[in-house]
Amino acid sequence: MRRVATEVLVIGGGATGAGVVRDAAMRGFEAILVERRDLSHGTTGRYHGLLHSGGRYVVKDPEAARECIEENRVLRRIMPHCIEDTGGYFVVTPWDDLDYVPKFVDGCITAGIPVEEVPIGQMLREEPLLNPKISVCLRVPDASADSFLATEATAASAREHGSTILTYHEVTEVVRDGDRVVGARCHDLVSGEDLEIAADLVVNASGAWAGKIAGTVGLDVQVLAGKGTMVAINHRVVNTVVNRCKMPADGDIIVPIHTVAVVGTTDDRVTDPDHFAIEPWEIRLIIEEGARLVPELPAMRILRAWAGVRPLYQETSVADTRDVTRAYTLLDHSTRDGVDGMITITGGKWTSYRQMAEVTVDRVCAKLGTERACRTHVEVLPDPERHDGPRRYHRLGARLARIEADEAFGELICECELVTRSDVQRSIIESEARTLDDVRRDTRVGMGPCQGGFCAYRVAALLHELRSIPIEDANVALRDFLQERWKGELSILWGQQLRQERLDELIYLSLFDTEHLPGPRSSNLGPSMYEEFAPETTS
Amino acid sequence: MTTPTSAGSRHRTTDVLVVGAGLAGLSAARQASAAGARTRVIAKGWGAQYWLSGGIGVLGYHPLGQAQPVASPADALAALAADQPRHPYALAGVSAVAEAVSDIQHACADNGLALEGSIDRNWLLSSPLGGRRPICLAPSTMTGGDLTRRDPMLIVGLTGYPDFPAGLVAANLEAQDMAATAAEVDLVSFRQRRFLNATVLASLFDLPEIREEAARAIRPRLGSAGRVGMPAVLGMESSEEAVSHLSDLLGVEVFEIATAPPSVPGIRLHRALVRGLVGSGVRVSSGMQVVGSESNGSTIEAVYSEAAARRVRHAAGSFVIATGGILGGGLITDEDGSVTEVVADIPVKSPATRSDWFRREVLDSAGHPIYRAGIEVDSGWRPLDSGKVVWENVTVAGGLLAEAETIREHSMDGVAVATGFLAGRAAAASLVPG
Amino acid sequence: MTAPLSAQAPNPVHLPVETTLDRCIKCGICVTVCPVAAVTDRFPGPKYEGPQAARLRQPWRAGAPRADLDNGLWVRTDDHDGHLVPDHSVDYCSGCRACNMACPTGVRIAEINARARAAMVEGAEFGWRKRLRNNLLARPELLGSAGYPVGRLVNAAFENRFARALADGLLDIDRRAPLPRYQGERFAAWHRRHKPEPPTRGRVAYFTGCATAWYEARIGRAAIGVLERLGFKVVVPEQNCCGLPLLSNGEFPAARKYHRGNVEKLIGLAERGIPIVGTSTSCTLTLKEEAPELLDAFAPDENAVAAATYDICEFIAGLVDQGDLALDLLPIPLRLGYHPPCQYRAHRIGLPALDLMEMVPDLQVELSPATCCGIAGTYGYKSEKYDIAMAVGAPLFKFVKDVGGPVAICDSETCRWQITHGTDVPAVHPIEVIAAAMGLAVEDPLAGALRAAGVAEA
Repeated sequence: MRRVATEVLVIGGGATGAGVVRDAAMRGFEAILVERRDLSHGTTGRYHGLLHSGGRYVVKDPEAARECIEENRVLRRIMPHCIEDTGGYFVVTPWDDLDYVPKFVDGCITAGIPVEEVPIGQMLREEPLLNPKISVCLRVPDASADSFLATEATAASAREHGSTILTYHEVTEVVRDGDRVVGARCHDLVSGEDLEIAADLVVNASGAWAGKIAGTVGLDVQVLAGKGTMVAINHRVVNTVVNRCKMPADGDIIVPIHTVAVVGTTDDRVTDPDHFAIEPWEIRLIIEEGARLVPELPAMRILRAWAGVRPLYQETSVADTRDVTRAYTLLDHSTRDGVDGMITITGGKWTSYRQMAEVTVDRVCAKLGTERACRTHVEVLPDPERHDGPRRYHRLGARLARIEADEAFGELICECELVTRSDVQRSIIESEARTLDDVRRDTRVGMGPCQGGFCAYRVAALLHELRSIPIEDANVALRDFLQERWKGELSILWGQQLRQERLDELIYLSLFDTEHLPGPRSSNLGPSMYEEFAPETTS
Repeated sequence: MTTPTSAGSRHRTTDVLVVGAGLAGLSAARQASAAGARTRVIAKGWGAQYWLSGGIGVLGYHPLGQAQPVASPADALAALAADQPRHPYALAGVSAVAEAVSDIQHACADNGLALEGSIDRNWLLSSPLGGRRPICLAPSTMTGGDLTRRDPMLIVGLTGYPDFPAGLVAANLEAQDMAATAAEVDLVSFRQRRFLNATVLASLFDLPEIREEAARAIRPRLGSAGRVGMPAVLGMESSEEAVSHLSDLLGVEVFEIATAPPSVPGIRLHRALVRGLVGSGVRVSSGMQVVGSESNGSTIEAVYSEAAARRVRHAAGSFVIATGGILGGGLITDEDGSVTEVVADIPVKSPATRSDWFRREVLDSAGHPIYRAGIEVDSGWRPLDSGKVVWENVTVAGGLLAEAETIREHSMDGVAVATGFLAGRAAAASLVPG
Repeated sequence: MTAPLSAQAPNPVHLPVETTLDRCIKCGICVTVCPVAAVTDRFPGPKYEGPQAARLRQPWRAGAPRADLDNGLWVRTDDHDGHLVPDHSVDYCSGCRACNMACPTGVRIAEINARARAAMVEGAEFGWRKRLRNNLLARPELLGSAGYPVGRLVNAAFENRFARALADGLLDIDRRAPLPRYQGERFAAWHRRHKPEPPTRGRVAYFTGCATAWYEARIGRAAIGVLERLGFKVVVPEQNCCGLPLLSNGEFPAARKYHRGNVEKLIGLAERGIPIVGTSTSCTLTLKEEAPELLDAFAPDENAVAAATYDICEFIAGLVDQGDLALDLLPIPLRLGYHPPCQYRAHRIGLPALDLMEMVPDLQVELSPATCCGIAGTYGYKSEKYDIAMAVGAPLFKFVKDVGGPVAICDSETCRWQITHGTDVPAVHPIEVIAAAMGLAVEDPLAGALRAAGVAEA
């Protein structure tokens, strides 16, 4: 087994882990991050993309609300290219209680969240598809955020500061020597080799999996997995984030992000973050609740459904995960459990990931007996696509503008999401994408209406060409990706999306003979299925 | 034949109205028209021929899940008919399928498109990714790519055209023990274009000077190759001439390999068939989506198509519904598990609940049950509801029929041609009094 | 079993045409039929510009402020930063709708493109010269009425190389494009002194259209002749330009005024069940569908006028279908080429003009296989698009020349002018052919063609 040593080992390549490794690196620590799949493969890559203003928490959890607006301000500054300044509404539909409005407004003012009332006429001019029966509309500085891009940029910054990011390295066990954690053993899924990393301090930033990781050294960390299911509508039904003005509940938010609108979410406790199902009632509920905001929603095309597992830390278990605090938790296992050398950061939400990292690395400093100031809130993240000129928020039309300016119409690999050959090349060569799904997270390849139908084979061909991989590997990468896309479509396949899927079958089966191409049918880098799909609702 | 109501309206009278302009609809129209019926075709838009390979696939795999493709469709059809007695091919019978396939071959030949082969043998041609694609009748421009031959191939990609990854094609062929190498050629004439798609390329290859330029670029790369495979974009109007011209220029046989949609050979096939119909007085109109029908007892009197400001009524003596299945748009599926036929709300045989629609693996070799949903018909291709004929003057053909998994079987063209052939004949025959 | 979700939506409302992009399955059929993308790389094609680009165009949320969190303020700005329609290439869509007709799933591609152009105009992304030029071309009524009193002068100017060069240089109106000529008596003047026979049937209203009103009065005379011969009392209601040229130039507010003007002038007829019949396929399509769909104009009066509007051949063929009419047609021993314009196909009514002409004994009508003549209303007049328009029209020009008849037949005015421009073959409206077959007096160029063929004038 290969062995390496480092000062700080971060387990988990979601937003938090990437944030921690960047912060640690910027404070001069030698740091390694290990992630069992690709960056943002877990919860980070499976959320709705809301950059909270804090409005959702002002009544229920004012502390979380304050944290949100503070970080909202910071993230807009350090990663404008990952954020679209959509603005947000909180609206009162006929199903909501008007009494919540003054509480909400007071809460916003207390938390320091700018809020203004939007006349209904103006609201409908801005968002013509919203329910005209909405009686109150309040504007807050919500925004949407690309969590793939943000994590990628955070990791890129960490690399620039000298740290190492190891993807497809699954921690098989944390290594404990007496009362001390001294590192972790990993399995490299790509090469098949094992690696032992010795570390002065291990940061367990594995989110919903934190309990599993801690469990490998006998520590009892209870992280509830709160499954949140959401769907993507094929087009931007709204261009503003729209929340119901009430206590947070299922299906009460629509987030416009890139080319789609995400409607969600549900909240359902599951026992294992690796094994759960998307249930038909969730899809129906999301659509029915969404229709209270946008009455025509049921007639609109859904591209996909997916679920992320919120890491909700709790010392004692409770039944309803919605009551668990959204604020994060930092556990120092030396004080908590008498085991030194490891801390666990869990809970929280995407919007506060940087702050979580800051608090974590503050503790790292304390534990390693040094004091170094955090600078992650001032140093801007690298933007691979940055053009000269002032830094701007991401705009929906940015890719369209770029293709037009470059006259790159012939360069498109993914036509739905306007991904060019050079975008894919950069992902494969510079970001070292291993799978088509990695390329997707880097570029949005395959995320549009055809769900890879017209681009997956083009990307597979580029992977084959640029990586000079054996043809069997290219074939299996293609099959894995088709299965990965299928997984997300299964629970929403009807109507036009089913028609699309059948055209994709015509292409891959009738025309291409994909199922008989040389190589294994699937690989260990492919998707793991949800436990079940679309079991029947008998109602 | 029905008698026109008045001499003045004869040009507005239709005996057989075919709904759908895919292979099934066009085959049905050809038969109905040949039987003397005044025939019209209306369709929402163009369809499956624009996506498929421009040949006629009759049966590529049976039973599904076999590693080896079917060698002889005729033989496998008999087995299929025995295994699945409700399959459209079983209803048609092997000899009718053979007759229909031969008829479409003649129809194409009469309109300037040579399809080679017979129902006794499948061609094995390279797929656009280098897989082995079984097909019964293939355009003559493709048959040089016969994978049962051993002479080495040079697979040529065109720089700037993303839908034909020559390197991947050659590597896959090699991995299946077929001698193939790849080359990509970068033509100056193509560099001047901002985008290259199949139709742009096809019209370029209609020009002799482009073929000459391509041949100059390919010649130094030939090596020991005995034949050259190129994407199926070698001419829209004059593909056979383009391929033979390129072969002459290179001194080796040149053949086309099908591409991802839209398919140039598919367009050639579609156009040849439409040309034939128009020549025999059948009008084919697109842009007409049928959204409902008008009935009288057990007959359909007219169907209605969506149009600007109002619906348009299309009366006819007999109707062939060839609107396709889920892919073609003839069937609409919904979240509650319902599957609806769009023209006349004919009952659809489909899995009872949505949880039964799919299997877990996308590439499952048996296929997803929902795709076998469709209309059940009697021996005269009339739609059935629990064994009873729903409409006396309606026949159903093509992808709308139940029980076939046409994509995995590689039978989409053949089912369309055979059932269209028979349904069109039945529709015309039903007009005869008595 | 619970009701399908889509059935739980409220009654069908007219969603913005952009939402039809949900139907796209990316198959690319539209790309293969687009006559513009086939001849120029300036237009990346209907799939790209329609359902694809529409997902990435930022609607302009006028008046929506941005948060300035550093100062805790809302900032109001009208800066859309060029992101409303970043793809100016969409302006090269000619609006012919070949894509719509071929699309198997029903995406309203051409309409999506037209609305994108309007967003560019709204967002001031076109320069003033282009706006001025487009507005000039898009106001046939204004031009027609302003020019008519000095018609000869205008004809001379339109044919004057210097004047055309000036228009080209200053306004980018291509010097070669086929501008119309004033011909003979104005329609309104003729109609005022026209004495109809007593009617035997009900009334129909004739929607003249700008071209007939100002340049081709003969078509109006033929139309009224046919309708009166069939026994109708024909009224010519007050009306204005349908606004289509403005719609296709993205000048929506002005188009809305025109459309509202027509709706208010025609609603009385529609409410009394009087059919509104037109000879310009583009005017009738605009009243039926184009204006309502592009302008989201679905008020009850707008719907009523739309539902009462017919193309003249659609109307007559409909009567034939109902057995309500037996046309008694004289033979015309000619072989003529017929091109149904894109605007005609977009009605989605089949080819009733062809159906009627095929009833004429001895007349052999050849159906054009060409997609589009290229002119597309005002498209081919623009300097940057003239060559594209001519290339698009080339297959049609070849067809017309190959058929070789003394005249070509086409239902739409600018298409007729383009055909003549591309072939030197004069072009007539199908209703003129029907009029001749009904024994009515017709005018040149058809009259001359008939004389040459030895058909005696009625």
